[in-house]
Amino acid sequence: MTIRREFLKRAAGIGLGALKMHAARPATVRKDFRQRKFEAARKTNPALIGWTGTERNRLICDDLPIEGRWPKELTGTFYRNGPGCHEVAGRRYHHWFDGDGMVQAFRMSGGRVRHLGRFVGTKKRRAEQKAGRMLWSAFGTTLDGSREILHPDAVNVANISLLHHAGELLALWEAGSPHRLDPRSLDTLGRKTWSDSLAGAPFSAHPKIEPDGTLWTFGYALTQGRLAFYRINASGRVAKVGVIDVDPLGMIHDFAVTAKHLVFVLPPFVFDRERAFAKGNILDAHIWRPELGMRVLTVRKDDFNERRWRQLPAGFTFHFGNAWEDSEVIQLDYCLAPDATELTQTFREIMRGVWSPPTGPTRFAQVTLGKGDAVEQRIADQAAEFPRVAPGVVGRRHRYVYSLAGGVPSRRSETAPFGLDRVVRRDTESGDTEAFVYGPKFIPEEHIFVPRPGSDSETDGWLLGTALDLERGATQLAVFNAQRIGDGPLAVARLPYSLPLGFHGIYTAE
Amino acid sequence: MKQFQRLLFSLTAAFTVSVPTALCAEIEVSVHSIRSDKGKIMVALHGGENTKQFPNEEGAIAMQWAKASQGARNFVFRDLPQGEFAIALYHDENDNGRLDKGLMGIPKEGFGFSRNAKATFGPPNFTKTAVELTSEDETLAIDVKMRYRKSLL
Repeated sequence: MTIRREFLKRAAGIGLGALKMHAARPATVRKDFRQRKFEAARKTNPALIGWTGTERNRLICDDLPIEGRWPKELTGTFYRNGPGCHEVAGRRYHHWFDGDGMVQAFRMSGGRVRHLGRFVGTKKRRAEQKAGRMLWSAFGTTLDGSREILHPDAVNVANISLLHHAGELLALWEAGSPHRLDPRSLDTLGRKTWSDSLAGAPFSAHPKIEPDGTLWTFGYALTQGRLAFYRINASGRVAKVGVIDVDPLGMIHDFAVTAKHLVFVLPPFVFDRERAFAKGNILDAHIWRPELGMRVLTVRKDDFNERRWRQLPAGFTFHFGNAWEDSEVIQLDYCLAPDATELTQTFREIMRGVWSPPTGPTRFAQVTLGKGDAVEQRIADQAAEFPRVAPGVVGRRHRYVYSLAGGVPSRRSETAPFGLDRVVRRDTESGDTEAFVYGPKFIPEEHIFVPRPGSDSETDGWLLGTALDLERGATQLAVFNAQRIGDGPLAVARLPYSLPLGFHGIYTAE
Repeated sequence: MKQFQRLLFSLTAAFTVSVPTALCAEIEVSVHSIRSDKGKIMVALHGGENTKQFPNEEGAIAMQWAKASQGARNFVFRDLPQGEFAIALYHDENDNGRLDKGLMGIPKEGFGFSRNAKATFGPPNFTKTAVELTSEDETLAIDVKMRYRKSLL
C-alpha cells in the first residue's frame, strides 16, 4: 500500500517537476539492524521509550494537568537539554550521546505549567534533515563514508546542557561552540562567539557561575592535546584565557571551582590518535589506562601558570557537586565510577535496546586535597549521579548536595537504568540523606534546586525535576519543598507525551 | 630563505648518500579549490627519513611556494629518487609565513594533503598520505584539494 501510494505521488510529481523532492526523501524508510533490534526490544521493555527519540521538530502542551498545588511564587522557566533523536532516516546512532540536542522549556506562572520542546537548529541537523540521511560520524558512531570533520563544530549536536548568562540562553555541547537560543521561541540564533580568538573554541557543558556572575569554564581539544580555561565576566566579556598541553588527554566532562582554584579530575580514559583513525569515532578512540590513575589538576584562578598535579586511584567521573577551600585545603565532591564501562558499554548497548550494566555503580565521593600531595577520598555506599548544589554556593562552602540516587546498588532492575530510582538531599557533613523514592515505575532525571526569591539558604526553595512515568509512557515534572523531599512532591505536572531522556537543566526567573 | 637553503642541503645530502642512480622522477602537484588570490600557496614534500614529523615543515625534504591564484596552481618536484613521498600544503592567505591556527590548534587557513587524506582527527600521518614513485623516470601527477574549515561549517 505504501509502495503504491509512493508510486502515485511520483507519477503525479513528474508532471509538476517534483520528482527530485520525492527522490531525496523516500516515504518508506529502510531501518538498519540496530533500529530494528531496538524496536523489537521496546515491545517488552517500557523503559526504552526513553531512548526512542522523537521525529517531531516541536512538542507543545499549553496547559499541563497538575496534581497538587504548583507554588505560585515559582515563576520562571525550567530548561532541559538532551539528545532528542536517536536515528536519522532509519539509521540508528550507536551511542546515547550522539543524537541532536532537543531543548525542553517548562514555563511556570500563576501555578500553571506550559511546555515547549524544540530541536537545536545546528548546522549538522539542518544539513542532515535536508539530505534526508546521516552525513557525519558522531561521538560514538562511525558512519561509513562520513563527510570530513575539519572542526568539531561540523558535528556539534548541542545536546548536553544549557547556560543562561549575561542575558543569553545557550545550548551547550562540550567539544565546540555554544548555540544561542531565543528563550521564548527556542529558535536557534546561531553559534556563540565570545571573541575573535575564541571563535569555534570548545566550551564545556558545565560552566560554573559564581554568585557575582563571573563565569568559569574550560574546553578541551583531544586531537591537539590541549586544555583551555576561560574566565568570562558577568557582562559576557572574555576576561582571561589560558591554554595548556596535557598528555595524554581524554574527555573531561565537568570541573569545579573554589574561591581561588579551578579543579579538574582526569580519568585514565585517554584519546589515542592512531586509534581514532582506525575506529573512526571519538569514543572508540579512547583507551582505559588505569596505570595512569586519576590525575587531579588544580589551577590558580589569578595565575594560570600556577598549577599542581595530584593523584587519585583510577576511576571515572562525569559530574561534580561543588568544591570550596579553606586555608589552601580544597574540599571537593563528585560522582565516581570504578571505570568507564557505563559510557563505553551501557550507553552504547541501550541503543540496541539491551541493558548492559557497568562493572559497578557511580557513587558519591568526597575528596580533600591537602597541602602538598596529600589526598583523601571517602566514597559513599549509595549510587548517586547528577549532583547539584544551590546556585548561591558555587565555589563556596556548601553543606547540601541534591542528586539522583539508588538503593542498594546490586539490586538493579531492568526498568531502573543506572540503578537510580530516587532523588535525595545529602548533608555532606553528616552523610545523612533525605530521599523521595520514585520506584521502579519511573526513570527520574536530574533534579535542580531553585532558591525561594530573596533567600540565600541552600534548602529554602524548591527541587524541580522531570521523570519518565513508565506506566503512562509519558514525562512528568515534579516540584518538591527542598526542605521536605521525603514528603514527596508538592505538585506534579503531567505531559501528555514522553520526552526523550535527557541530561541537564537550568532554571531562570524569566 | 635560510630555511630553504637548509632544506635543499639536506635533500642533496640525503640522496647522495642513499641513492647512487640518476634522479629524474617527478611529482607534479595540482592544487585546486584555492579560494582567493591572497597570499601564497606553500607546498612541502615529505619523504626519506623524517616522515614521523609529517606534516611539520621542519621534517620536509623540499618546499616550494608561489603566489596564490584563485582556482588552481601547479607545482613540480623534480629529480626525485624512487620511494614514498607525501605532500602537505597550505594557503598562507595573510602572507605571514605560517599556517595560522586557532586557540586549540585547528587550522584557520586552507590546507591539503596528498591523496586528499581526511583530517577528521587532526592531520593525517605520512602513511595515509604517501604516494610511491616506482621507477626512476616516472612523473606522478597528483591532485590536492585545498580545504578551508569555514567552507564546511
